[in-house]
Amino acid sequence: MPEDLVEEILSQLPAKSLVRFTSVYISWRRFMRDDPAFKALHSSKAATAERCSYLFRAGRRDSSPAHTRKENKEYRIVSLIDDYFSLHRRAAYVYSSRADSWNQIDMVSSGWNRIEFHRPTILDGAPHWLAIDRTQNLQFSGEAKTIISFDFDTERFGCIALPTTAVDQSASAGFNSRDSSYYSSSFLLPLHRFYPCNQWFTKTPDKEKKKAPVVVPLKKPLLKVSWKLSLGGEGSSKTRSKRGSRVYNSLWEPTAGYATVSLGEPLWDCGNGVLPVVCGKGFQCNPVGVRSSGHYYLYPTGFPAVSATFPVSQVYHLPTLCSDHCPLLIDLGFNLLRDLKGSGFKLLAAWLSHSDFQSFISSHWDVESTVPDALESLAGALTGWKTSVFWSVIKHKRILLKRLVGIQRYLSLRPSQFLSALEVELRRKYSAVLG
Amino acid sequence: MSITTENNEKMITLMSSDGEEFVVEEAVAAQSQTIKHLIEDGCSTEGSIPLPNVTGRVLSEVIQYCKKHSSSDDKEEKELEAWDAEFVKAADDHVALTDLMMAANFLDIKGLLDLVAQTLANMITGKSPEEVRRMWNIKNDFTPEEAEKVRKENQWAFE
Repeated sequence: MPEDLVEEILSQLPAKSLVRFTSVYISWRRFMRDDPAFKALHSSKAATAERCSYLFRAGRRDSSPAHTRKENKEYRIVSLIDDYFSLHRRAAYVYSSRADSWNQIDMVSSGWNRIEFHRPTILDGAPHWLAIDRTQNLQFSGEAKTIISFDFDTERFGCIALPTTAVDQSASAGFNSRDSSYYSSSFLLPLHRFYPCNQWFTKTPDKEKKKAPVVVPLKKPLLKVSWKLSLGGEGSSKTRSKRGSRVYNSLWEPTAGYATVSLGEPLWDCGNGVLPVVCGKGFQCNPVGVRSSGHYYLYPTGFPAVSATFPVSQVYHLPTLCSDHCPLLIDLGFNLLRDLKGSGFKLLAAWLSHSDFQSFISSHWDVESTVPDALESLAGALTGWKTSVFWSVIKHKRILLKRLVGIQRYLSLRPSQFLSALEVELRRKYSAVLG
Repeated sequence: MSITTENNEKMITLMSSDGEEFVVEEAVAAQSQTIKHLIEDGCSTEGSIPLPNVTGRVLSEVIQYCKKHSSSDDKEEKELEAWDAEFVKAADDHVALTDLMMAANFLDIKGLLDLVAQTLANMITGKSPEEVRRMWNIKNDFTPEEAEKVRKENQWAFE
């Protein structure tokens, strides 16, 4: 079967089947994972067929993908917004699909108003940001780095401070957070100065069994570290202690001095491979915005409060660590106009060559009003003029092209003198149209 | 060869690869963009339109589809959907559907192409990669190690 037909069929499949069929045939795997045109095709069909949806999920960890769960499950979205009226003020809002509303929630520290958030990494269903606080004047190393997490259950932020000095043996054994109101965290850092950087460093911070770290040679200068986050502290200590502490895996990138956490870089092939489309309940993909890098623009149509607040948003696939979810970062502050090329008004050079153009301009330029107003009304008038004058050309060209394709398709199977002659004639017409 | 019937409907003759001839109304044949363009370019005046890679059995099915879809208007959408469902059910074998899809692709009938593609997609949604390979006689070109690796990477999709 020809490949374009295979693509036609496969593009109708839900994401789960699609991912499974990457193991059918090597060339299938190639276009499913890498072909932006296929991804666009798949996302354009999303509205007509059943699709998986993987949103940030509320509630406890649940291993089943979102689409297998009941529809009445609640989804929550956390949104960090800069307040443009008072510079560097940052506000946090949580959206709940059940209430279909946005609620502002407290940021923990006032210092966070001047923190640059990067894209989060999802650990165990909770987004973690590496935040850099540039307000603090640092005696240590110039920048204060903090890991900030958000708990969807309690709708609260947590904060884990990172050391600003080089890590020594004692610090690695357990690092206590400066802000212990939400998490008292012990934090194990890699001692990469004791191990070469081109090695995977896997260490399970188990205090009882002092196992020797497993070191696996690897080409990439990355350290894979298991780190432990003991959840405890005020308020929610009871529910937390039930869950106990967890061991997270994270990728660490050693730099000179000490390790920095590489949170925020999407790891496309981490764990689940590439999911071509994530789209579903309430979200409709806009195929024009598909980028080859795998970002999708979504119009959140199903949740009125979201679509009213943020008519256009952008979605990033996030790395999944310690979870079989495919979390998304929905960038609600995304500005479509800024990113889409050619959506604005364009003046084409061909217009200038038209004999009526000069007179059209002089008759439509509004002398009375201000220049911006006049420009705007002229642009509107020109759009109409363009359609009436040039549209027929484009349409004519399209029809001619279609006929040519039809003739060539037939000729490839069977010669025909009549059609060959017609093709020459049509080609001549085609070049005449453009001239 | 073009015949005109009592109600002034122009008739077109289509010939399949195995020599079978089908006489249909122009409006029915024009559902196929390929045939439509051939008619526009005056091909039908030369005699019957040969369709060298569509067999008579498949062509009769295609014509059945085109007849239904050219005779009914938009109001009967529900009924048409039900008819479509019956139509693909009748050709429930995936080999027949694949033939139908290739014909729909060659003849450029978008509605039929989408319908068959959707049906085939529904057929394979729940299947394992092995079953899909068997369906279309696809040779497994992964080495066992690669297959295992791909499977491990996407374990969640296999459950």
